[in-house]
Amino acid sequence: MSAEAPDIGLISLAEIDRAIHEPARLLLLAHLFGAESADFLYLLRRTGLTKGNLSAHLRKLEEARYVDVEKTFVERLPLTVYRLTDAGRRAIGTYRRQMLDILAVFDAGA
Amino acid sequence: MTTAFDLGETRPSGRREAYLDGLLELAIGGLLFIVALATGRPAFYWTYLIAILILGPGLRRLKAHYTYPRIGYVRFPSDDPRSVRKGVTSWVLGVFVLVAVALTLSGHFADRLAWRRAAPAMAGLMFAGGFLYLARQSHLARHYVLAAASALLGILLVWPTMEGAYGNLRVWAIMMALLSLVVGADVLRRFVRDHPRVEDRMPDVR
Repeated sequence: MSAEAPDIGLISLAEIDRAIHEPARLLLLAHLFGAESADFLYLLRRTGLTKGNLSAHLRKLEEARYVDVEKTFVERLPLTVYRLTDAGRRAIGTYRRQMLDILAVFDAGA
Repeated sequence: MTTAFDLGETRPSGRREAYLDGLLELAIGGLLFIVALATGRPAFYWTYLIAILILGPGLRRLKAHYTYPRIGYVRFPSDDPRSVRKGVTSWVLGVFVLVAVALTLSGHFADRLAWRRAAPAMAGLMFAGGFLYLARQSHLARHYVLAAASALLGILLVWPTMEGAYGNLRVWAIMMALLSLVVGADVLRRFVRDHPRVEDRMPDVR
């Protein structure tokens, strides 16, 4: 980054949450954000990711404690469902504010 | 990864998934057949209770066994119960007021027979409200069509003279039942064709 970059309160890009700041995971979180819970097959269809890819991204979000996994039953059908945690929702809120601040740079430059 | 993704569309298009299988339309058709059977026949009033007890759990059971293995499971937050109750109450009251005004203008407000004859219009408009609520969530054309058909048929069936105290209402219920069943069956046929069961629904790696 230029040493002469204007001081406009730009959040360091290094502070961006990498668990969220990845297109596939952002897509996943968008789907989970609006829903109470969803299973693997629903997320697979809606994101278009491969099984392995989806599995890996969900694991990453689980490790970050942004997504919870619950084994449950729906009408005696065993289901594994994923849901966004409160920490996940807070993290999305923070990420959103950071991105808005970062993208404001482009408005300032116009 | 899917292309042309609209973040704002995730929830509306996700909600639409609940209506992909046509099972709700089939259930409504079944309910309306029971209405047609039991209306004006006290010996069959017990079927209303059976319908109420079976409809919800039956639909959930069918979805668990036919729908979720094909398109997955998602649960969205329910609408605020208070606003739903307020909406339903307003709609029902509105329908009664509309019918009362129509009967008053025609000079038949105090005529019990006229109120019975207006029953299909009331039922048609009330069910139209239900279909419009579904349409608001699903944005599916067929729900708008069912709403329009329900209202129109109900109003048109006020005039013909039919056998029995609630003959008009029974005919409305049978026609709407058939329409719902045909629509539901066609949607289900296409759903089963376009969405085969996915046997292995779990992730490979944990």
